Amino acid sequence: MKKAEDQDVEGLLRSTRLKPARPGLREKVLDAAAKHKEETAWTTPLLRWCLAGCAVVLAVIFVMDAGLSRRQQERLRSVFNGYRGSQSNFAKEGQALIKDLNDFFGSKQPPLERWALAHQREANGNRRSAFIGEFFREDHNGSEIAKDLD
Amino acid sequence: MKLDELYDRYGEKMYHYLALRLGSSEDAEDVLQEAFCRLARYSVRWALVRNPKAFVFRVLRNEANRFLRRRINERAGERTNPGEVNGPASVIERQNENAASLVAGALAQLPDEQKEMIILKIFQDFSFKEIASICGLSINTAASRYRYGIEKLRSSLEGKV
Repeated sequence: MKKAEDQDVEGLLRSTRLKPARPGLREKVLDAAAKHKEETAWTTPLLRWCLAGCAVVLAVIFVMDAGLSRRQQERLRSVFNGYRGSQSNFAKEGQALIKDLNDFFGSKQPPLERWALAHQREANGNRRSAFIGEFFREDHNGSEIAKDLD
Repeated sequence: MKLDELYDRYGEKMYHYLALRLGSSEDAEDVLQEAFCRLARYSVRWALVRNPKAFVFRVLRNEANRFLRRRINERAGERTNPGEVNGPASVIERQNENAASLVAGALAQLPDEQKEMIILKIFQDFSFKEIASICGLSINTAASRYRYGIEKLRSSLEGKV
């Protein structure tokens, strides 16, 4: 009995019609919410533009830096690996001078290298003759010779 | 979900909940606006919200509770009656004048916790599970509050309708 009466009350409540919201409330509420959102946002439009500009500048700096370092690497490679694509005029003139000297002296070896080889040959010859002389002397054995030569 | 879409889906129901609970259409409008401002500030990822309607009503309920607390404090500070609240009559249509005024009067006499359960269950079509999650209660508590409220309404409407 009580349950049936409760259902009657529920039915009465459900049949009660509610007034709609007044016209214009939607616009008022949504405008206020949009304004509030704009006010409380951590970025302003000006700040957003500044951030975008900074990002573009950073990107340009990175690209330019990569290009410059690549050119620098090419220059270094040309200096250390004998790559002659970007040699200076001074280096080219030096090479031409050495070539002319070689032609003049009639040798394929550069004059400086020829002098160095001759000097080395002479030093080796002197050392060999000293060793042989010491070896044939009667009062020395091999270990003493090595010690003296050191 | 954008705010205008949110309003189109739930705006009217939110307004009715507030008007019935607060008893004043002007207060309901103010609190509805504050609730939408809060939702705009949250920038919710709606795809992650399992039950958007329940979530929106939870936010709305918190905002209404804040408003009621503020009103109680203001009254305590002033120690005067700041103005008459019309009660649920402000939002109930007067097609059947007698029944509407009786229902509005009976709802106004209910304790707030029971009135809220009846509003959410009957006028907003929430299940007890959803009501429990909106109000932060157990399902049994929500159901028993609803039952007590209906009994009180029945006894106050008995012989009048």
